[in-house]
Amino acid sequence: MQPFDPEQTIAALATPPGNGALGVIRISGKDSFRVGQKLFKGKKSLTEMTGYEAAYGHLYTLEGKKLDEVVALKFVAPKSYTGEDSLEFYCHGGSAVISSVLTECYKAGARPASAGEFTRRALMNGKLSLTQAEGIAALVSAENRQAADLALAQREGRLSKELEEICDLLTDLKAHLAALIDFPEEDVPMMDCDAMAERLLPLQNRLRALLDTYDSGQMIRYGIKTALLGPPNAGKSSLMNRLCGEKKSIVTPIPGTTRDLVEAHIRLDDLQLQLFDTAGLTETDDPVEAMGVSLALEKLQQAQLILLVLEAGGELLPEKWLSLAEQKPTLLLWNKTDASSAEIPKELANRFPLQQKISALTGEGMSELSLRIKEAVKLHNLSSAQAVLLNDRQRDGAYRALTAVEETHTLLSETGNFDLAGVMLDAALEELYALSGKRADDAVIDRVFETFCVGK
Amino acid sequence: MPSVRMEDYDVIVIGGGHAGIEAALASARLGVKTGLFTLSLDDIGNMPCNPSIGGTAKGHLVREIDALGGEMGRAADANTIQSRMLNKGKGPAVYSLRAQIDRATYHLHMKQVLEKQKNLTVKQAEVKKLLFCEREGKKAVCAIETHLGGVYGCRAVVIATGTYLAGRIFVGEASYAGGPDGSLAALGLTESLIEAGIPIRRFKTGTPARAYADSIDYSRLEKQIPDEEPEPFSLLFPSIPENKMDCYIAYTNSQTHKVIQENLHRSPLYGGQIVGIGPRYCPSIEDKVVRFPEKERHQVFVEPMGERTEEVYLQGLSSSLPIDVQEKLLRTIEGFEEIRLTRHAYAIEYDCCDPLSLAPTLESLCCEGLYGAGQFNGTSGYEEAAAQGLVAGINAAKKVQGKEQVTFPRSESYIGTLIDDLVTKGVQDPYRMMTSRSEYRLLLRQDNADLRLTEKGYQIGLVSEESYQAFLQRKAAIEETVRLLQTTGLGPTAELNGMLEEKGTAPVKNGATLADLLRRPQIVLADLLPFAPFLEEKEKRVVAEAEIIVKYDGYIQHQLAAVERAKKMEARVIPKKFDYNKIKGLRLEAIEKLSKIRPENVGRAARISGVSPADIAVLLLALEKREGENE
Repeated sequence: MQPFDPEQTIAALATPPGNGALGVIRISGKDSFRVGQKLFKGKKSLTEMTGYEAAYGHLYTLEGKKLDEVVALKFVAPKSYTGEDSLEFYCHGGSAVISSVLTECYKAGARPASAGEFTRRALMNGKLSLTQAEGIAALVSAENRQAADLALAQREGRLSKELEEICDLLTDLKAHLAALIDFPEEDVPMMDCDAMAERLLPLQNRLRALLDTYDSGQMIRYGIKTALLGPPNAGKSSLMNRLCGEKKSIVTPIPGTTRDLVEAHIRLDDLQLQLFDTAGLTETDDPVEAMGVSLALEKLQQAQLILLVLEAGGELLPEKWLSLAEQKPTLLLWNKTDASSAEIPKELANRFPLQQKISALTGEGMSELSLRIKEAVKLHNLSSAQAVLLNDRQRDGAYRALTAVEETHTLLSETGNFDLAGVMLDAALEELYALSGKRADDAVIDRVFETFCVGK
Repeated sequence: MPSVRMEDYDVIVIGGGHAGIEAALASARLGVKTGLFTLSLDDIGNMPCNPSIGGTAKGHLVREIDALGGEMGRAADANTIQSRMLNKGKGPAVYSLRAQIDRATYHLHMKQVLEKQKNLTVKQAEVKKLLFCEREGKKAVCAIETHLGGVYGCRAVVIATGTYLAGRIFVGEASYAGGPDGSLAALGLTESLIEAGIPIRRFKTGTPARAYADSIDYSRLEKQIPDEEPEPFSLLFPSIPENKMDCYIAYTNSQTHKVIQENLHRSPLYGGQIVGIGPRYCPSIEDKVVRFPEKERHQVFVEPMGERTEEVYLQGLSSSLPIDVQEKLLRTIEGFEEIRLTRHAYAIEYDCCDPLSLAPTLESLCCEGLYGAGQFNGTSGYEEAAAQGLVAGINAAKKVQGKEQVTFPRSESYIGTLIDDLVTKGVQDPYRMMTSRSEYRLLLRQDNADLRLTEKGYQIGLVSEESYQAFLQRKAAIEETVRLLQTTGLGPTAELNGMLEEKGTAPVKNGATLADLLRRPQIVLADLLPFAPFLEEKEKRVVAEAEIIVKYDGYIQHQLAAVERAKKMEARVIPKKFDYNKIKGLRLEAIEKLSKIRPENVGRAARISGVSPADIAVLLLALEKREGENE
């Protein structure tokens, strides 16, 4: 691995690889302008330009061969993305040109940037907080618009803000405990154990809500793990094919023809689905089919969403599958409404309140599908203004903080051991500060003196 | 005035307060020739503020001083007039011992201990000047000069000047140069300290009035109940103190607050005459009334000052208001209508150093052999002072002997936490120890101070062989008791299950060990005594200690894991002459702070305020790179 060395100047393509209209090459580090000057010739010299100034010109190889017609944009430290002296060349987007320009940059003294190194430098130069940096990492890899919105929200510090608010409330409580312990003889108005425990409950809920967003974030970024469930020949495969726009499953009118689990990544409006068609779920003696059934069961267990496909007026599903579906976010799709006018049985409608009439054949009802899915997996309420946990590090930190808060609650409500409760609150705060990349310092002690009249 | 050359010492301690006493004793006991210079022998170990020792976290400090072979705990036990263990019922890690002390006998006790100490000479003189020389290319302190022109050579100096250094008293419109309790101020020495390169600041503190005990109507006050079985501070030389006198509580009221509000303009604090920064934890009554106007009353503790005096101390009423206002506001308090004062309240301003200019050994970073302790280092409180005095005295003596300096990690003591806070985070106002300042407070209990530190005190050379052997025996007895609790099983008898159900916890089906049962929140060791008669034979303190160790085991392990994590950062050593300016990516604030404080390792660097986690990441990479280059 290339050792990270902030002394060196780095260069890389900042736009996606491939043929595009434009390709932006970013150079960052103390030698940026020297490197750029070796390649760039324009009306103005790069060294004469000021920060945020752009210049038209051409890039040449070190041997003097013309490479491309470009615009150069100069950034002077610390007013740049990385906080260092930086340069951006707006080149024509052909991969061949880009590749030659980069080669010349490396010859002129820059080295290739490793993955995420620009952002890492921005972090180290104090341009970003840790969660903001993670937001950018997610933004860069966001595969669809909503994922990009979410990442953007992160970039703007939504998570930092939520964490800060939770920390602030925990600090209040810690100050109460500290005052109780360190100033036992002062008659400051104190909450009793139960009142303090009570104050922890909303914080537990906020942390749980935050943890829930991890799943939402994962669903948006990587797609919703969706299982198609239904009796043989209810139209699962036709639905899959309609969603995929291609013949993925073999659709035949003979029940049980889908023997394999078919997987497809599809885009449905602004959602991504990782779709699994399950084998026709008939009780069978055929060992191949039986294997398909057990695989289907496993997929169902992992699924974040079940699309329960039932044929209007047709066969229902055995009870054990229905009750399994009940335990998961499930959307009931009442298929083949083009061929039958049978209404959804009332009992079924009660058990699966989210439902949609469709015709996989004609496409009827399909336009409402993404909205119904969002309702089923509770993404419809997720706004881009919400704090979202984006990665495992954040989820684990929030989880440990929640555990510590719960433990504090138990200690306060069951034992009255303030020493232990205080230490668990410390642990929760530490996790949250680690999560947001900040440090606690003496916030608690400052709060004690701000809030209470204590002292001899 | 011509100077005269007098005798030489190895270590000279300036100041005979709580810091100076421990520094001088530690130094002399380590075998180096020590001189203690004080403005007045009759003020040795004086308590110019509260006549009490201990309290939350401060009680912990006293026990730690004792465990390391210091004097404060023993002296307090011998002169206690009332004793209370605070925070009972809030968990053993925050129990805190506090004792009311006979101020006069405590002074006499300490004076005599100093006088009897081998290798120690106590002298009454004001130190006017420090004389410097060069040692190994660095500025070093090599002598002191007194107000009588006496020049005494030395190899190390401990500055323990308390509130005497350039002290100035404020009472209303009156103000004059002076030390605490009607003593003289130490004038002149500050210039030498500035010459040594030490950054000097001005802090302020205050003390309430004293009154005639018989001018207070105690029948209208609340009486404070002392502990039935007082515990001593000293675990190395335990002697049970006695409750001899009572304390009372009175309250201010809206009338009192009105008098204060109407006369604020006559307070030097609000009039702008006082520039020094006062302690947040010890606000004056005018501060309390101004900052917390919604509070209807404030407590006043009436504390006796000793058995041979009729004076009482009025805790909670520190003030710098004019004397007529002081008396007027006191008479509004129920029970104080006829009060007669012996001494008025005053505020005192004094010079001290910025402790960021000190190393964790308490030696100055600017001058070889110059150590600071107590209020001079920006703290407040007798116990905080004594703790630093002990450390400065140990290190001054070790320096002279050419031995390795001793430091105290945060994870092992409140003393270490106190010093690390001072020299790493710095102080904005006089620093007071609090349990909330320690992230390891479940480990740093007052009950286990000896288990944590007596081994270290023995290694340093301050704990005698006899005390050490007694300690080892007690330690072994505790370990044996813990083992017995962990291995002794109880069957599911009707008696046991009856007791468990009565305590609101589940009965056992197949039996359980004593430790298993003890870990249940509802059960304390006393509940289990009928089922474990062998515990009756053991010393009470041994059983109590074993109980905490077993009951808190899970949480203690949790904190020990945190200590291990922190140690990894402490193990990343930063070279002494490391040039932070050369590291690309460090923010300017971080470069300034790191260059000034010069942390020995990354763990300490990370605690400096103004150094961000991102700065630490950059620093770690720079250190890695440097190591790579050196290979």
